[in-house]
Amino acid sequence: MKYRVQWLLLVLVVMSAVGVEYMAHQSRAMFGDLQRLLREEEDLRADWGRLHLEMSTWGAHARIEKLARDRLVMDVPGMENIEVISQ
Amino acid sequence: MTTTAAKAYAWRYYTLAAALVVLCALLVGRAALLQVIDTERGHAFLQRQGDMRAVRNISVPATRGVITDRNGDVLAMSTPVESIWLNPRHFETTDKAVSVLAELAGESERDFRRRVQRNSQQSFMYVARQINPERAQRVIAHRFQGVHSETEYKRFYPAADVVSQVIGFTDINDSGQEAIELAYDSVLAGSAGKKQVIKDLNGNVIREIAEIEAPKQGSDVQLALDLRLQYVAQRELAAAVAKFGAKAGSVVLIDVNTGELLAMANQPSFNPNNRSKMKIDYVRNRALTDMFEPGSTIKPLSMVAALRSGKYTPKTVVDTHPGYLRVERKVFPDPVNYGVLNVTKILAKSSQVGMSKVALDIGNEPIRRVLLDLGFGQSTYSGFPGESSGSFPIYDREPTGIETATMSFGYGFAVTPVQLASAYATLASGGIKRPVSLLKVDADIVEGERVIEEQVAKQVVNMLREVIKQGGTGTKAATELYGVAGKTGTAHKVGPGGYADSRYMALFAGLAPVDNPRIAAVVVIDEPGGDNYHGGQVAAPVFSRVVNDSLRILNVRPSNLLAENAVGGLAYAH
Repeated sequence: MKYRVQWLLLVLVVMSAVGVEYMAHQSRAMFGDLQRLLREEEDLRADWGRLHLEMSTWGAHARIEKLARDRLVMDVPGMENIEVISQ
Repeated sequence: MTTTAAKAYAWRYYTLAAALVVLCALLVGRAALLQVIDTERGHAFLQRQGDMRAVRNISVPATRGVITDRNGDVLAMSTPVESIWLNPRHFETTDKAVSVLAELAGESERDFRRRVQRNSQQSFMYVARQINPERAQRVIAHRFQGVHSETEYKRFYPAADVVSQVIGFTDINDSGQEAIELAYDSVLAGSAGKKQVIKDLNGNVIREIAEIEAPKQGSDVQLALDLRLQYVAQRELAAAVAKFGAKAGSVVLIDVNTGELLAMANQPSFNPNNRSKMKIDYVRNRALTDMFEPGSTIKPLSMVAALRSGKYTPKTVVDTHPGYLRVERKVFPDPVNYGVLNVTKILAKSSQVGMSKVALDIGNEPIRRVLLDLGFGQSTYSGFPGESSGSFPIYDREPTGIETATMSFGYGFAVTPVQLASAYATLASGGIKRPVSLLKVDADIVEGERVIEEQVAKQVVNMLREVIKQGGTGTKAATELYGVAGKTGTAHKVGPGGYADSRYMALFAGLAPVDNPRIAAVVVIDEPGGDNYHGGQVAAPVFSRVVNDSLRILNVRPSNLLAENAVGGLAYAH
């Protein structure tokens, strides 16, 4: 069998070429995934921010105090209504 | 006939064949020239030109960090918004597109057309900036030629006008303009990344190729501020400023054990989310930038010098008869003739005559020493932009008696509310000065520097209890739940040509709970109108309410407990 080494090298070269192409494809696919996940992260971050702001707005001290006083007719307890329980 | 004819026309066949071969060769040759052989305008050049049109580096914005209070409540946060822009060279001015975009931009269709016309030679023009992402999505869904959207970040301030002067704000490009946003801009900002993408002719991203540089997200900043206390301080301050028709005001709350600034309220305030009604005057964090002559609030600090000298104890008596004192060419009056007072009563009544006599007796230098040690005339190094150091006199000669007397009751130098609060925090901590901190400190107690002997500091705090009691000037500073100590002040403001007759600063500086102080507080009300302008009437009630609510929020055990309030206290105590 003449050219044995050459044949072997040819096969290896072809295999390596296929491998390179496969890896390139994988990398492109994964980069695509990465970008999609980053966008998702960004969207989630945006949602988190919006929810946080919503919470802060609804939970603003001025609003809570107004609701407590006006709607629920609550008040801060005075001295006569405070009991301290010591251990 | 046919063969001869065929022979006669054979040249036609060969000519045609040759022509085809030549054409073919030309095509192959041209293709080789463009794609294989590297000539000046060969494949490398064309590849580069192609890439220049399609492959772009675009910037990936980083999110600006969040500013929170000490408990993690959000004070400033960036959320993504969309900005719609168009390329006037590619834009087709169809009626539909114009009507949708003009509405988005909030202008008439005529104005919008005119704006596009004016920018027709440009390739970039904003239609509308910082709009709700959903709304932007609806506009982009029309797929108008040359219309694009770009993600930007907009800063929101959920606490609105409660902390505005402390936090500051950012400009439309989300870079810090004022206060904390400015001071910590480099920490908060992070840095944008870069990625390579392929764009089509209209500038739409069709594929992302690679990330060149990952964006570095901005870091968060946690302040020492407690939003709950800040809200209480702002609420009471706003009420007092409105009630007394004052020009402005500040409240400062400092944690005695750590030097942290728990609250810094300022009036008038503004809403950083909507700055259309903001005046430049509202932006200033008066608690750190404005200075004033502190008046009688300095007397307890002068008393530190008196007790230190060994010549005085809290019970030493001074004769303030006949109710005024002539020093060189000036006369310092008391409102009435207090007669013989002990040193404690001098503070309780805020007697100018008594204080001046003590000061003239012990001399200028000891008082000066105390005030300098407490940090007057020096920046607190809080790192806040525009912080004032106050002012403090440097003598190149022996100070006069007038200078010594006026210094002892708080004239002739100027302080900021934070400096004054820091001085009272030092008194409250038993004489240990701790640096004030805008940022949260991860320690229950900060090691400070002793500037007043513990015994002297405790004696002065004890003397200050008398100010709050019946007969003192600060009875309105008393709180329902906690014992407090403090000092009133009513300082004349300087107008054109000397001290103004009817313009005052109403002040109160104090600490609580008096037996084991947690916070030091200063209330400054600038130019209260009308007949009520004394610190004891205007500033002391604010102190009382702010301190009472703050300590309750901080879960400090009420010290004014009546016996019947303590359920099983003694029985189960151990």
